[in-house]
Amino acid sequence: MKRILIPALALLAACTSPTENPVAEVAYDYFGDTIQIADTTSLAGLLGQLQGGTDSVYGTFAAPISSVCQVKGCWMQLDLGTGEEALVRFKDYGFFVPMDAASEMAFVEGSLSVDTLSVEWLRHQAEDAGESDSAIAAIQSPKVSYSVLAVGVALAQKERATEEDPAPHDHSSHEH
Amino acid sequence: MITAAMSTKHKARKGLLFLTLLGVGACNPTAEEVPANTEAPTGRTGMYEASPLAVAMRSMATDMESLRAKADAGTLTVGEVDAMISAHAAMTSADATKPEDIKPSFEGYAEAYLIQLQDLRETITTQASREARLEAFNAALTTCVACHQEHCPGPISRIEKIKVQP
Repeated sequence: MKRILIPALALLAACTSPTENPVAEVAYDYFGDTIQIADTTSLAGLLGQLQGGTDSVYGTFAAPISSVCQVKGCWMQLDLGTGEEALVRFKDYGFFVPMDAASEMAFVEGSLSVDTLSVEWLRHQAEDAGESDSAIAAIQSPKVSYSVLAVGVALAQKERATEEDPAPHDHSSHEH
Repeated sequence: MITAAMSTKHKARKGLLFLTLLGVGACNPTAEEVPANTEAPTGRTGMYEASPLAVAMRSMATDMESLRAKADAGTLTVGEVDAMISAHAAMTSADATKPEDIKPSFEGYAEAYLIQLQDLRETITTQASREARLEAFNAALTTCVACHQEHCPGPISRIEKIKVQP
């Protein structure tokens, strides 16, 4: 039996070797704790647990960033894909995210809950988002929102210009 | 047990603090920000560059956090408090991230914070009770929280965690 099993396992290992995996690995920039992308779970599942009555759920999930604090990057909003957003703040104010990260996909590890955001916070957030004085003054009542206290965030690394590729490709002078 | 003399002195200081807070409103750059680790990954754009005030406040938060256990144990020394008073006074002249957002009350909050540190120092030199020392330690943090409530609420939870329960 072993005579058959060992070569079979060796063949299987060779076929599944990571070096032959055609899928390119994505590199990430980490903010706060270095979270494990592989631990990502379904956002819908986490939201379902909250809707089922759980006070808060902890996990790693992914969602696109809809906006970021434009003063320091000390909070961000995620588009939950349900017409709602989640406000993400960072544990102990211990890390910030890039202020130009809007529209990027964020992997977030932390505690997700439903929170009541105070008028003071909402006004502060509106200020950080660069909203007008009249818009800020119009905030008169608290808002119930999904809220995340994150321990870490990962964003896929952006392609960075190198000396070999110093300028964007110009399509104006020819057709493909 | 606090002596009658200490009690009078505390009341006077608290009265001064209260008047200071009333006079300045409710915000201060003392509480502007306390992020611990905002270094950008290599090559990332759009990262916040800490202002001198932010740097000063990070240092203040780190100092208070590092002395929390000693405050709890009642082993804070005059030298340690003096070092904080000397170092933390830097916030009164440090530039903020958005100087235009610093309200007139900032100076009052900063002053109130430093007064509270002096009060903390006094509780040590007079060998006041552990409760009195903790009260003074926490009162300094309360001025930070009050300021942040107006200027930037982000760090409040971190500051609250530094407080010691009597």
